[in-house]
Amino acid sequence: MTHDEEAGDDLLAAIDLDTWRVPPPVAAHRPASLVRALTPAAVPRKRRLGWWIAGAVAFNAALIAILLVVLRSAEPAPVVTLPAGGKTTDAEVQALLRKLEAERAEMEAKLAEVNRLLTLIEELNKRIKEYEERDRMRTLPPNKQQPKQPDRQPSPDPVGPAPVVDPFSDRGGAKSNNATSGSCDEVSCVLQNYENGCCDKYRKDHPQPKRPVNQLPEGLDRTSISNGIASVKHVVSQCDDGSTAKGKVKVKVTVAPSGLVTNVIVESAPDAKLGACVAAAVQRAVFIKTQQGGSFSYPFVFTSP
Amino acid sequence: MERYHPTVHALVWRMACAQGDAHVADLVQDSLVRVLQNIGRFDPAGPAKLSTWILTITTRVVLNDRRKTGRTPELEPARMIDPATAAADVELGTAIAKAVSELAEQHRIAFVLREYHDLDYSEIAKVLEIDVGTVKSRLSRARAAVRESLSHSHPDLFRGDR
Repeated sequence: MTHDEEAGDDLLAAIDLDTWRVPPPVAAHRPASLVRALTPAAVPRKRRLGWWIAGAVAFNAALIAILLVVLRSAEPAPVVTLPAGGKTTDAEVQALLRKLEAERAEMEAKLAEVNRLLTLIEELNKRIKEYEERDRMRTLPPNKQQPKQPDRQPSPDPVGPAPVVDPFSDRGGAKSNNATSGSCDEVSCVLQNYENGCCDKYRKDHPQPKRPVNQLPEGLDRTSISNGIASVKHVVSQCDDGSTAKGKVKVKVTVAPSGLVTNVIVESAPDAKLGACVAAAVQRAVFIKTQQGGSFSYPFVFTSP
Repeated sequence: MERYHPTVHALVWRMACAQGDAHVADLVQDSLVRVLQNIGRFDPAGPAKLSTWILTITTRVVLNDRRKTGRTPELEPARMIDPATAAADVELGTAIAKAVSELAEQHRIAFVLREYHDLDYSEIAKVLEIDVGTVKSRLSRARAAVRESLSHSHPDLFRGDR
């Protein structure tokens, strides 16, 4: 044992501290101590309670998690809100709307065109009736007819108009070159009521190449030209009334895809007045609708009756 | 275990300051059981002696009991000493017991370990997990307090010191 003044070893040097003697210990019960020492320590109650609390917390957490999952899966599908004013954020919808708008504009244009054509048809019907009335009046007995101008009717038959010779027809006395030459085109066949044997191929009952129902012909053919000219032929024939000139009036006709005549040019005429009358009459002709329209030259031959 | 039982009992008795025979017996048994349970951890080749290791465990058991129960020693000087003490020593022994029981707990533990169990300063420092300087300081204050207490009850013991 070391002597240390710092710890005050000398302070109690004179005192016999062993006079404080403790009572002897009670004899230790060895087996009990050994059993207790070898027995696993029981889990303190506090720790058990802690486990109970931890278990309860974990159970509640699991329950809450399950509830959250169930509630989350039951949520309705997200609602897509489109901005007001007809605008939409979807590019496809916008493209569809634009397409529908374009189609609507196209349909409106077509409707306007149909209306315009209906008006033209009505006007044409009116004119047809008017000219038919005129023709009927001309076919009446002479005492019921209006007096004709003597300088314009040099022919022995003052009643009938000067016959207009259709270049595609052999009727009317003066046969066309095509007819006289015995050619067999569609127009000639139509005008000859398919009398020639070569016209069989142009008959309506002759099998024709089928055309799609809704597809317009690409351009004007002879039949459509003859039909179109036929609608104004009686008007053209009346041009003879105001002119004494006879001969061939050749006009170049330009037809729009809609079937309306857009331009008429007099290429040759024995008389300017007669040519203008013919051009004005042809201007009113209506042809079938085509994809591209077309232009053609058409001769009218004015001969003496 | 029988060999160290009196040592453990003496330490518990002096540190518990006679809080009751049953309580002291419980602490002694707890200490011995703890020694038995942990005897495998003691390293005979290590620096600590077995007696010091057992006293360390006993000190921890007593301090833990004090922290749990919060008990403060109740002075029963007549019961603090061995009834078989010689009549001439009873008065002084009781005075010493009373003086020690009045010490602060940390001072009392250091005092008991040093004066009654012969642990040196470094061993006390390890048992209490403090440094040696603190041990010396606590011992100095404890001795001074005991001397002061005894100087009142037995002034003749210190008459020749100065």
